[in-house]
Amino acid sequence: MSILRIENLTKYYGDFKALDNVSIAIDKNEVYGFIGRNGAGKTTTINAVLSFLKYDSGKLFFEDKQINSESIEYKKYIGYVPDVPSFPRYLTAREFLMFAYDSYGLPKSQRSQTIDEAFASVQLADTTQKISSFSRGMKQRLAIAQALLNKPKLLIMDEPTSALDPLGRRDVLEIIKNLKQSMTVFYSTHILEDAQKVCDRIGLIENGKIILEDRVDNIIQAQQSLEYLLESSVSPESLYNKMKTMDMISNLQKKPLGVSFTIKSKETIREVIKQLLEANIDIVTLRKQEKSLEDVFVEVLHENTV
Amino acid sequence: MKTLFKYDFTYLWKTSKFIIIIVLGIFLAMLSVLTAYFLNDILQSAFDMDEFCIPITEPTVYDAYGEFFNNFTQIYLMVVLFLSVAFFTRDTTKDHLPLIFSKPLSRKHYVLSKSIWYITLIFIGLAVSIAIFMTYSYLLFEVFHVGRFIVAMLGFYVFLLIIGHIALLFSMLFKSYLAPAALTFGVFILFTILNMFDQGILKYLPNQLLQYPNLLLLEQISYTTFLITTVIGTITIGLLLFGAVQLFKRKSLL
Repeated sequence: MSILRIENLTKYYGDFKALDNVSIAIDKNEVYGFIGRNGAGKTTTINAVLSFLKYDSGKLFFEDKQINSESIEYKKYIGYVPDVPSFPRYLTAREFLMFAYDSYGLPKSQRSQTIDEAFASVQLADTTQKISSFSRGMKQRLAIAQALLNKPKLLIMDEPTSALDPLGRRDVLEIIKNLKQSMTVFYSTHILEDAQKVCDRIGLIENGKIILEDRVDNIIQAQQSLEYLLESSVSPESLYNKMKTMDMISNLQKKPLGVSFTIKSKETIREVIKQLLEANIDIVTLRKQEKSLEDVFVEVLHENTV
Repeated sequence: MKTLFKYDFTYLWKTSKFIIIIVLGIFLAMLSVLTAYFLNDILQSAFDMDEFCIPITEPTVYDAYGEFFNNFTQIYLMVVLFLSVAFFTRDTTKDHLPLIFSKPLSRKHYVLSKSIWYITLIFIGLAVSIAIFMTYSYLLFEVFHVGRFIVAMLGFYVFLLIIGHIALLFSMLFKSYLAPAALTFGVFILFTILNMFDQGILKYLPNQLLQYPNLLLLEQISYTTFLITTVIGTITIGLLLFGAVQLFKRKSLL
C-alpha cells in the first residue's frame, strides 16, 4: 500500500502549466527523492499535497483515503520541513515546539519528554535564546524537530539542505539517514549528490512532468557506462597504436597515463584484457568510468529537451 | 482552536500589543478628564484671558465626554486599526503560514481565533478605559451618567469591531501589511464622509456609530435609533467575519 498517491495532478498559474498530470506513488518506509531543477514543479506538488494551494485537477490519496484542500485529519500523520523555515521571532525554540506539539492534539503528559527527544534527535540545544538569534542551520534543525514531534508516518522535506553550508548539509543528510528506519520520507531536492546518498527511489520532474521514476540503483545500473580507462607500463602512444586495431572497442582516446575506450557490451571487456595480455602489455589499472546520478540526469534531461 | 488561541495570545503578549492597547486606553481616559477639567486653567496660563474678554464657562462632565470621544475616535481608533492589521497579517507577511498549516489546524478556527482575540482585547481595553474615565470624572466633576455612558460606549465598541473586521477581511485578501491597512483606513475615511448623510435609512448604517455615542450622551438622538444602528452594526461584524473565513479558506498560503 502506498502511503501517498498522487494521480494526474495538474496546476496552472494563469496560463502557465506548473504541474502536468503528475502521478507519484510513495511506498511505506522508503526515502523518495523528488528531483528537479528550480521551478520544475517540486514545491508546487508539495504545496498541493499539504493543501497550501488549490490545484486544477487530479487526486491525492493518503493511505488510500482521498484527501482534498479541506482535509485536516491526514496532517496528524505528516511532518513537514520547508526549504527556508520561518518561525515567530519572539518565541524560543521550546515555545515553538510546544505550539507545534499542541497543534497535533497529542497528550500533554508526554509533551515535555517528546520535545526533549526532538531536541536530541536534531542535536539542537534547548536554550532560552529567541529564534530570531538562530543561525540558518539551527533554524533548519528546529524545522526538522517540529516535524518529528508527532512521529509522522510521512515526512515531507522540501529542499531542506538547499540553504545550508556543507557541514549543515551533511548533518541534515545524517538525520535523514537515521529517520529512514522508522518513517517514509518524501525528499525534494535539486542537489543530486544528496539524493544519491539517502534516497531509495527517485522521481525526476521537469517542466511539471515526471520524466523518470525508478530505484536509484536501477537508474544508475540501467544507464551504466561502458567506458573504461586503461593505464599501462607502455606509453599511451604505443598503447593507442596497439589497441586501434581492436574491433570490439570504440571511442579510443589517448590520455596522459593511458587510453580511454568504450566497449560494445559488458562481456567484451574480457576479450579486450585477453588480447592486451597476449600482446605483452602490462595492465597497471583498468577502471570503469562510473556514472553518478547527476550524469544520468543530465543525459535524461538532455534527451527530453532535444 | 485552543492551540491557535494560545498562539495568538502569545503574539499579542510577547509583542506588547496587549499592553499597548490597554495602556493607551488608560492614558487617553485620564487625559480626557484632566484636559476637560483643567482646560480653563491651561488657557489662562497660556494667554492673558482678561485681554480677550471671552466668557469662559465652568467645565462640566459633558466636556469630559466630548474629550473622551474625540481622543478615542481619533487616536485610539487609529492605533487599534494599524495594530490590528499587523496582528491579522503577521503570519502571512512573515511566511509563518506553511509551518502552521502543515499541522492539523483548521483555517476557519485560525480566522475565528484572531477575531475572538480582537473582540476580547478591545473589550478589555475599553472596559479598563471606561473604569478609569468614570472614576476620574466622578472625582473631579462629582457627577457621571453611568448607564448612558456605558450604552454609548457599546456603540463605539461595535464601531471598533466593525473597523477591526474590515481589517480582518482585507488581511485575508492580501499578502502584505500595507494594502489592508490602507484600504481599512480608506473605508474609515469613507465612513466619516458618509456620516454627513443621516437622513432616512442612512441614519441606521453602521458608519453612524462613530458619532452616535457622543450624540447619545448629549441626548441628540433617540435610544431606538442608537440600538437599531448597533444591531445592524453587529450583523455587519458577523457578515465581515463570515467573508473573512471564506476568503481565507480559498487563499493560497504561499
